[in-house]
Amino acid sequence: MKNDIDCRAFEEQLDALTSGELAQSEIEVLRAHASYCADCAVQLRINEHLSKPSLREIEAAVPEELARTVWPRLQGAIGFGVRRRGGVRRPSRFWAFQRPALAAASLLLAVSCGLLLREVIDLRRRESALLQQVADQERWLAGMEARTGAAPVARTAGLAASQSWQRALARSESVTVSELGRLLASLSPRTTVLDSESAGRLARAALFPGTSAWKRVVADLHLDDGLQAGEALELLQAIDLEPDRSISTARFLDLFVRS
Amino acid sequence: MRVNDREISALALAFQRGDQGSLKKLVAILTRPLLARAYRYTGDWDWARDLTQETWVKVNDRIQRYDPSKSFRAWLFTVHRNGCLDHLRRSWLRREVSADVDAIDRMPAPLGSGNPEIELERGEFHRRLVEALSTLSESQRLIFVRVAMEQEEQLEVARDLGISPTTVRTTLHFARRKLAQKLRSMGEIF
Ligand SMILES: [Zn+2]
Repeated sequence: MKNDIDCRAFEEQLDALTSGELAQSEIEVLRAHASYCADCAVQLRINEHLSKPSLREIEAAVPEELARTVWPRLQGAIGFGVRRRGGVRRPSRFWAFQRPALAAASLLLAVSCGLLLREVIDLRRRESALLQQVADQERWLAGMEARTGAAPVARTAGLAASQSWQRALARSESVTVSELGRLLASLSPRTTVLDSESAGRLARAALFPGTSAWKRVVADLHLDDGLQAGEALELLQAIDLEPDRSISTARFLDLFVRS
Repeated sequence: MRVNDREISALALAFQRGDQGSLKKLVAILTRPLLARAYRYTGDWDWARDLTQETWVKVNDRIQRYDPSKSFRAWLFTVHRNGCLDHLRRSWLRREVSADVDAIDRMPAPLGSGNPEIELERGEFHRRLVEALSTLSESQRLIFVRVAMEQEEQLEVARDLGISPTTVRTTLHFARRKLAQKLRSMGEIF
């Protein structure tokens, strides 16, 4: 074939392609070779994937609000303000979450499910005493439902089964951190929001993301006698997410099923 | 914000000596390059943010280990790269790579083509590429990610690692061949 090159030459040209040194005609020669050489075709694909966008283009596209959150979060993480020669130490209570959103999702899931399930049981026992609390929660759920679109989340629809709280969660596409916080704050801190069995589920859900930091958080809790609202709220605050951070319920229901 | 290497290293030295205001300046100058690199590895801005934050916490903890006669930027990028690669290793252990389909929704417009099919395909290719990195040896992986993913000059990488440019080139060659083999074994995606 005229103008053909071998695989070795192809690879050398590939470097030149990355640095934008090739003329259009030379690029055509590369493409011609890749059209019948499967190995080089993959090389070309990798090269194109990594050069469009280039690292510089990605840097230019970094979302401004994301870059802005790094410093305030870091300040919280390293306990800034404690002046010490030679840098600052982070406080021992800092948990280096690998994935705060997942950690929060686990908590959100376990607390929501446990709380609402428990509510149904308690309601049967002492209906009148809990009436106000339930009304609050129903308002919260109604708020969640009101915000949902017509189409249920397909993946979670099958989960709905007969429990209304599951249906509600399945129909709502997301909840925010502050919604959960408000719910927890509206309860007495001593209210058990998770019985020990559900707390065990929290521990298992926490295992799923696979980060040891999250396990440490769970290990700090006394889960044998369940989880209290105060503890849950403290935990939520420790995870330190933006209040309007929205978490997909599909994601955490999925998490629940897998745990 | 373009600040030269020497000014950056001077800020790092000041931070090492206890001036915390310098850390704030370093974060302001260097967070975007860190986010971009972590995004390159994970294809996910949430992960990019968490990994970047982790890197800054490490910088804070380990600033005494930084040698002020050398480039702070290079030291920082090494700390960050190690964190990102550790993250990939964890995902290989779980056989669950973070560049998932959800991540595509979060791709900012300037990076996306606007065509969901293309984006889905890009995401899938990225997932496979990252998975394929697990088949490389440590040195092959390190050289591949520095040259191909972080787009460093081969000569620069050779100098930094204290090896010859020829070694970089041949290692890169074997890395690419291994990656291509692995990607081909994963089936058609083109
Ligand atoms: Zn070839």
